[in-house]
Amino acid sequence: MNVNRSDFPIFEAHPQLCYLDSAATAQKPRAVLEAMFGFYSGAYASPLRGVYDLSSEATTAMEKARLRVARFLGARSADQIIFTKNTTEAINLVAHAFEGELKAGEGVAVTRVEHHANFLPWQRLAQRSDADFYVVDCDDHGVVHEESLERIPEGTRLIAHALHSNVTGQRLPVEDFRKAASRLGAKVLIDAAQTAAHHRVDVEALGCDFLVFSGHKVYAPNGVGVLYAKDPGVLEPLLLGGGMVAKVRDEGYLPLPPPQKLEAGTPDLPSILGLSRAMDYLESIGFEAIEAHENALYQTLKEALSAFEERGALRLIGKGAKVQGGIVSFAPLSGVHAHDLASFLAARGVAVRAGHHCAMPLKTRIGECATLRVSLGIYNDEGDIERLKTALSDGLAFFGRADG
Amino acid sequence: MDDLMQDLYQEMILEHGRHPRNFHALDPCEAEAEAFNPLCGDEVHLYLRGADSLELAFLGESCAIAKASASLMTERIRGLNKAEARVVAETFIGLLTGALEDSPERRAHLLKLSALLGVRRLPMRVKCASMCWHALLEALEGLPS
Repeated sequence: MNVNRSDFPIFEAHPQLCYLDSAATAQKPRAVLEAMFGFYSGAYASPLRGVYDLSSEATTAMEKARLRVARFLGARSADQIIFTKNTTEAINLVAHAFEGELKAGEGVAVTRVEHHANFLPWQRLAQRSDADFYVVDCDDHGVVHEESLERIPEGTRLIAHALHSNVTGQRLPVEDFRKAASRLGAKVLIDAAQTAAHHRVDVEALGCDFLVFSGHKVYAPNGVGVLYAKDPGVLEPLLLGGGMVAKVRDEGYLPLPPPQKLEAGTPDLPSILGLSRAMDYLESIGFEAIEAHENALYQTLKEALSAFEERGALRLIGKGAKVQGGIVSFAPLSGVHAHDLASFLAARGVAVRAGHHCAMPLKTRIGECATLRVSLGIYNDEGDIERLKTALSDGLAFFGRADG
Repeated sequence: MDDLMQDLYQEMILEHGRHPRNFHALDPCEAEAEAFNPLCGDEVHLYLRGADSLELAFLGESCAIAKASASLMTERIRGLNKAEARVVAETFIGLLTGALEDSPERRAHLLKLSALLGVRRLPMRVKCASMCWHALLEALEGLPS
């Protein structure tokens, strides 16, 4: 039994739950829920608005949380941390800053394996600016190779890429992306949505201009995401409203400096405090321990699924990636459809994701419409893999039972 | 647990899923419609002709439930006229989604399609069974009268 499992009340409510969908969203530890409950029940007020004690304490709490996130990411200053709704909003905010900035002959580059959230905002930006939209291709298995980065065209002003693919679990060659960007004079945005819960993320070591992730995938509440910006001064607000202005007149407004400038509207402080607590929680376990646990489990998972592949029952996606972890996707073979198999697993209490995983360009490239994805979290253990194996084996037999 | 699976994936559904009937394009064709399931990316492309005595065929990448639903649909609808087809489609969609209350009179419209109603126990899969029927309603609209 995994020691961390008892920290998560969901497994008390559903003792039989075999949760293998942490890449979609992670379950919440008690500490995070208590932080939110504590704020709502004992300290609730709107930050940055009132002069009374509760409000000023809420303001202090929010700024402490910002500092907490900055420390988690190794950022130099808390002012480099902008709270957003989620990864998607954070990426859109950065894309918005490039509106009207791209000239003819310039463009942006993404990869074939990006989540739609890190694909569509750039595609739209390029279309609106009449600029180039370059997609770094992957191979037939969905793996991005560093050689492909040499083909990113001159004039590229920004490269946006995932740190870990949400389909293959590949760790993209971040060093090579940085070198390509520096050759081209482009900025780099890193989507760390699939990384931040599993590995230490250090923005200085990564050398990126922007980095984004969602709270809900790092055991924190829904409704809060993070945008790190090396120079937040280059960003323009996506939303206008309260809390982001110093002065408003009929003829215009004077914004506050970032990060406030970029956070219009009443902030989701309960979630922000939950995020801060989730970071305490992760660091109290330690990323070394988290990696050791998850890597061991990943090897077990990979071996189990490879055995199915050797029997011709499925095709593993992402073969040949140099560094990989946490996520395994596969397509069932012999006419069994991912969605049907996922329903069978669900009936056995095994929760996995089936579908295109919001990565249709990748799915089209590798010729698989829908796949199943198994993803790990700190609460998983060998027992979960055993249950997956049994359910998978029975499920494949079940759907193979007709005339073959 | 596995009872649910047995109920949902009856032999007939699996068989139609594996060997769908009328699984091809129609030429000539008088009306077409497409339906997508945004959850999984599955799609169905429906071909239709003959307002007084309908002929149907379909193509598309999809799960067993979606394929069986479309296959059974082509069999159930073939030979009906537009108005009759619409009644069957609306009854089936209504019973599947729970918008219509189940009754023997309504079931009488479904015949073999009743086997698909097991999907009601898995709300996330209702769209798989219903999408070809939405395509049918759309294609019927586009059919010259």
